[in-house]
Amino acid sequence: MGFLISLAAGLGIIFSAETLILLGNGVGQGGIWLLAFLIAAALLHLFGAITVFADISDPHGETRFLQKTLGSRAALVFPLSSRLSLAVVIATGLLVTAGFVFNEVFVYWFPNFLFAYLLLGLILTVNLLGRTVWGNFQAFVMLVALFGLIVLIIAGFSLTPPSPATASEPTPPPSLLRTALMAMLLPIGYELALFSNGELSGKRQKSPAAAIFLGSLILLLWGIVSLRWISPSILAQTTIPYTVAARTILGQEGRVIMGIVILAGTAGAVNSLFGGVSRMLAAITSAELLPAVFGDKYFKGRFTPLLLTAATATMLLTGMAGSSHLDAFLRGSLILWLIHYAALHFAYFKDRRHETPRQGRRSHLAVTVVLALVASGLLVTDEERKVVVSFMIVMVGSVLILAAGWAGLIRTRNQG
Amino acid sequence: MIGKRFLLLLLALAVATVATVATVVAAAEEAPRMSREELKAMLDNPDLVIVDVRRGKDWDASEFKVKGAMRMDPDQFESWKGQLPKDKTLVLYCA
Repeated sequence: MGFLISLAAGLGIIFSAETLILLGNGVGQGGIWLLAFLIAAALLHLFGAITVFADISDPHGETRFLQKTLGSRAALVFPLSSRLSLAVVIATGLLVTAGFVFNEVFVYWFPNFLFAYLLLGLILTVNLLGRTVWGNFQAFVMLVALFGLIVLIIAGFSLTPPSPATASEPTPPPSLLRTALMAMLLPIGYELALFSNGELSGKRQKSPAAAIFLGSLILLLWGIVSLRWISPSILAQTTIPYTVAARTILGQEGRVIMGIVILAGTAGAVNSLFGGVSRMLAAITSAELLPAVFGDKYFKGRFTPLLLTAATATMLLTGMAGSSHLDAFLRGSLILWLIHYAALHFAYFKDRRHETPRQGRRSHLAVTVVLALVASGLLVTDEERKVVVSFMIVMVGSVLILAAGWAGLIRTRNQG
Repeated sequence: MIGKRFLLLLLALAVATVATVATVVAAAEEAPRMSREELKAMLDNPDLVIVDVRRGKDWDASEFKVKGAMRMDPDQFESWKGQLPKDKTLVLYCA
C-alpha cells in the first residue's frame, strides 16, 4: 500500500486537467513530434528520479542536501518558489475546471463555483485528518483517474474513428522548438512521491521513477488516441482537448468518463500538492529555516494545509480564475519547478566533485544545462513573458525576503 | 509569539478579503438576471444579442460556448460598448 500511495502522489499533477490540456494542444500543434519529445523528456526526468531523488529519499533529505551543497537560501528559494506557488495557482485553475465539469456533465443546476469550494473543503478535511486518510484518499482518486483514462484509451484504439473534422480557423504552423519545450513540462511533479509518507525505502524508493514511467506511458497513449480521432487543428485550438476527444470516441459515455477523470484528477493533483508542500515546509522548518508554525509540532502539522486552502479560496473569491493572467502564473510556476530540478542536478554534480568516474557527474552537469536552457526557452518563447517574468521575480523575491527576515530573527534570538 | 502575530495578520487579511468581495457581490446583485432556461427560450429571437464576457478559466474550462455570441473583454468595456446595437436586447453571459 505504501508504494501505491507514493506512486499516486507522484502521478497527481501528471493526471491533472492542466497536463491533459498541455498534451492535447501540444499534439495538435506538434503532432507525433510532441510524443517523441515526451519520451525524451520522460527519460531525462527518469535520470533525475533514479539518481538525485533516489539518494534524497525524503523531504528532510532534500532540504539537507540543498543546504549542504548550495546553502540555506537555495534550500528555501528553489522548493518554495516552485512548489508553493504552483500549489496555489494550479489548485485555483483545477478547482474551477472541476466545478465547470460537474455542472456541465453531471448536475447542471449545481453552481460550478460552489462545487469548487466544496471540493477544496473536502481536500482540506482530508489533509487535516492525518496521513493515513490523506494517503488512502490519494490512492483512491488516482486509481479512479487512471482507470478512466485506460477505458478511454482502450476504446480509442479498438473503435474505428470517422473522418476527422477540421477547425474552422487555420492553425498556425507548428514550432518544433516550442513543442520540445512544452513536452518537458508534462512529467513535472513526479517527485511528490517523496513527500507522501515518511522515508522511502525498499520498493517505495522506486515510486518517483514509476510515476514518470506510468504517467508518461498513459499520456503517450492518450496522445496517440487523441490524434487518431481528432484533427490536429481542432486539438491545437480547443481549450478542452480531453473532453473533445472523449466525446468523439464514446459520445455521452465518453463525456461522463472523462468528467470523472477530471474530477478525480483534480482531487489527486490538489491533494498531492497540499500534502507534499506541507511535508516539504515541515522539513524546511526542522532545519530552522522557517518559523515553527509550519512544522509538525504546531497544530500537529495542520497549519500549512489551512494556509494553502485560505490562499486558494482567496484566489477563487477575488476572481483570479477569470483572470487572463492565471495561465501565465501557472507557466511561471512550472518554469520555476524546472529551475528547481536544474538546481538539484547541479547540487548533485557539485556534491560528487571528487568522485570518479567523472562521466556520471558530468551527466548531471549536462542535465543542469539542458533544464536551464529549456526554462530559458520557455520564457523567451512565451507570448506573455513580461507577466511570467514578473510573477517569477515576485515569487523568488518574496521567498528571499522571508528567508532574510527569518534568518535575522533567529540571529537576534540566538544573540539574546 | 511570532506564530500568534502571523495568525492575527492572516486573520485580518481574510476578513479584509471577505469584506471586499461582499461589497463587490452586493453591487453586482443590482444588475437584472435571467436563468439559463429563459435565455435558451430566447435564442431564436433575432433581436437578441449575447455578449460573452467570460475570461481565463471561466471561458477555457467551459464546454459550452454560445453560438453566435460576441466575445468581449469586460475590462475593455469602454472600447467596445459603442459597437453594441441600441435597439436590441443585450444579454451579458458571465461565469
